[in-house]
Amino acid sequence: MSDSGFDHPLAQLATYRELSPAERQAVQSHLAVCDECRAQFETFRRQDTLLAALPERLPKRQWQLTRNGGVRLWNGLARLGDVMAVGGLATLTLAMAFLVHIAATAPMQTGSAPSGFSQTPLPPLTFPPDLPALVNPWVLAAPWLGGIVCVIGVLLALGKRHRAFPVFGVTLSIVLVFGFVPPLSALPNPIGIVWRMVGGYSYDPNLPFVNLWVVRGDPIPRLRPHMDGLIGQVGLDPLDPVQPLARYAFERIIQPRDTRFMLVTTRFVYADGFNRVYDVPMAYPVVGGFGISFSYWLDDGLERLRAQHVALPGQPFAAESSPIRLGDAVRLKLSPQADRLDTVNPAHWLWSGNRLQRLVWSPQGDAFLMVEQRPDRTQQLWLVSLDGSAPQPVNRGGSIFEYGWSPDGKFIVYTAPGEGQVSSGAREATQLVMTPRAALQRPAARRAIVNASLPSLTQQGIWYTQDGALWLMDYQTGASTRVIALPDLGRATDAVPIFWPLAVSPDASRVAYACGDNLCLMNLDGSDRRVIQATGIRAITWDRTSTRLAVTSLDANNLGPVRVLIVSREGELQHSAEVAPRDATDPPQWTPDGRIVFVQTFPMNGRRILTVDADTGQVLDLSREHWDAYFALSPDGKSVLLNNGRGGFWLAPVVR
Amino acid sequence: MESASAYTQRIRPMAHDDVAHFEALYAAYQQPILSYLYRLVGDAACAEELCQEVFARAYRARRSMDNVQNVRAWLYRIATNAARDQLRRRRLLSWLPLFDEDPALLVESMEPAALETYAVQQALLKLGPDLRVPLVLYSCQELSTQEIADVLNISRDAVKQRLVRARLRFKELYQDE
Repeated sequence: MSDSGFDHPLAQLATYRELSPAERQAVQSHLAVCDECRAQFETFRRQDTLLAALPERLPKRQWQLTRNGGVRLWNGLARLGDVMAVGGLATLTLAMAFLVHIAATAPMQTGSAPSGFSQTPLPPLTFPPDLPALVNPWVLAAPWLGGIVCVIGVLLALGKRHRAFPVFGVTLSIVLVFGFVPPLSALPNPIGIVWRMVGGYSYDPNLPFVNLWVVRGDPIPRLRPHMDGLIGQVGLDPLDPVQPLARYAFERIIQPRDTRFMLVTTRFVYADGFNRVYDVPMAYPVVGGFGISFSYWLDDGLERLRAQHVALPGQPFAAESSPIRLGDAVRLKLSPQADRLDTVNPAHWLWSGNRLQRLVWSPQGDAFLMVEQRPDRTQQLWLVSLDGSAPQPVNRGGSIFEYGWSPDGKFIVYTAPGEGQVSSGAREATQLVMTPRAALQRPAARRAIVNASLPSLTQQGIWYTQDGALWLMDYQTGASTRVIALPDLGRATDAVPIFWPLAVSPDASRVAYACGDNLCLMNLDGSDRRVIQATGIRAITWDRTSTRLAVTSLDANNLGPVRVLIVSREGELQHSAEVAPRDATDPPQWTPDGRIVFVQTFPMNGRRILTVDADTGQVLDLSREHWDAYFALSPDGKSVLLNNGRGGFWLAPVVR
Repeated sequence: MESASAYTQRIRPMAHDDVAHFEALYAAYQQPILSYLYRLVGDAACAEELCQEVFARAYRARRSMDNVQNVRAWLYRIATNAARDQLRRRRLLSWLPLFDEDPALLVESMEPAALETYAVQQALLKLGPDLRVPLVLYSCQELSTQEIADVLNISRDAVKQRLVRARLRFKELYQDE
């Protein structure tokens, strides 16, 4: 028999079950006469029997379809995960490629701004010198967004392997949404808790992602109208007479460790195209119930820029015809480190931060002292040289109360809490430190004292009070000798640092000191003692000839006006001039000829530079609009050193 | 368990209810499909897994079921493809053991009836897949040649030809066993 063709008898035998009765009859007829085919047919029937007898396989488990949407949900999540993973990976790849392309083709723009901004800022406008390049914030955010979407997508897609993956992916998504998407991020959230513990949170205000709970409310709505109000105004860069403000851009919002503040990195762009960046502080957020923060801040860092510069009663501005005034300020070319000292202290911008800085010239006029407030609320005293070298630290950690120079400029003397102590502690912790300028890190003498005021520094030595007496410390040896008892000197009554102003005349013949609220004056042998009635003594300064002394007077409760008293060597009150409605002042500064007293005041509309004519008692306000500066009169009396706490130092000539 | 014929009778009224429709299909064909797969791959666990996969594939494709003339053939076609994929993927055709134990020892301990079943199964597994599938479908699953043609997507004549070749080859293999 042939093997080909379905009509072959073998095919009929193989499929005998399907044959019609007629076909079966024909087959049976053939089988009756063909032994071979009959044997084959029997074999096939036997095969059918054997195969049909194979045991049936029963399922071990009965699978059931469920009508709930669970399976559909998981499958949907897995499909969504596929799309997210691919899309996120594509976004990540493209964004990274784009950024690499930008980095490879565009020059670094350190110190300048990208297109649309000036590429070459003038030297006075280069603060800070490393202006960040402006790139579309979405470009910078794209790799992060792509990466996050990709990771979540992979987790969702891995649900095909194990349900734990999509559960983790969904949880991660929820955490991220509550962590970065307003208004949900205003609620307490895990990411916010971590950021508050770790600190240093910052975000780009041009993107819609922010953890509002960490930042205690978005500061932009509060700040934007104030910035709008500054557009068109001139002189918004204090001490820099530049073009009107044309526009601005918020570039970054930074949450410092001190959560009372928020820094808004703002680019000020002027009409001539130049620009500069400030970290504008916002202060004191309003926090509602359950820790939810509102978009409201009590103080904003533009208050000083918005203030009108108006003369206070009895304190007219100096004019061209005035006997004394200040010329235009010129910026000093100091080291970049010096220019930036204390610029991160947001309190310089706020009304509540008034006496934060005191500049003290060296007697030679080649350097000055200044203090920097650190984020950990300690203070660092710096020696800044005018030769452009880097500033040198004077103290090592801790805080600083007062500081000054020996008359020959060889020693720096300061009072401070005990070494290693930050805040005001026990009286015994106050110390007097004398350190040579040539070896700042090796103090020549250190002595525990009670009085935190700056001792009187004359050629004879350091005059300080201790145990109700006046003592003199020698510069060279550091040895102290008791000079005279000061029985009516104030007494320490509690465990906080106390400030008893004291000043010995340069000729070392008379001593002036605070005795209660009054001023006491006597010879160093205790004779010729006079008492000048006052309402509280804050600082005392002798002129160089020891003929007069200037005293700032302010009652202890800060209720009355601040006055400058001009007192003769003999104790005669010659003038009493009001220089500020209230609040703190710095020690008076005499001109070398002993005719004019300069004094720093801090009224509520800007830091002022006031002068009192020692002969006539006339008061003049030498400050200018938007200067808002701390100052120090140079040793030769021909210029003042200016700084406003926002970076940079200036010299303004004294015109007489 | 609902039989395949019962399913066929009540499938139409449920055509608009996907899940109910599929539940009936599953109830009717789970056991025959499982047996069919077991006879193709010779491994119970593998057959169980394949059976689930077959119905998962069928569920995903349930929307197209309304256009299918013969649901049974359609389902067997899915099962055949799944088994072929599995055999191809794991290269099981030539080396997959039927039992974990030593077959020689196993054979010695078998009853005569079980021994015959074992010999049939072994001969079946030694048959090439192209011949094994139509033989199992015809003799074990009792599909018609037309249905087998639908399952394999070949002509009915080709099915008959393969059946002849399968029977002749199976005869030799069984005699060897």
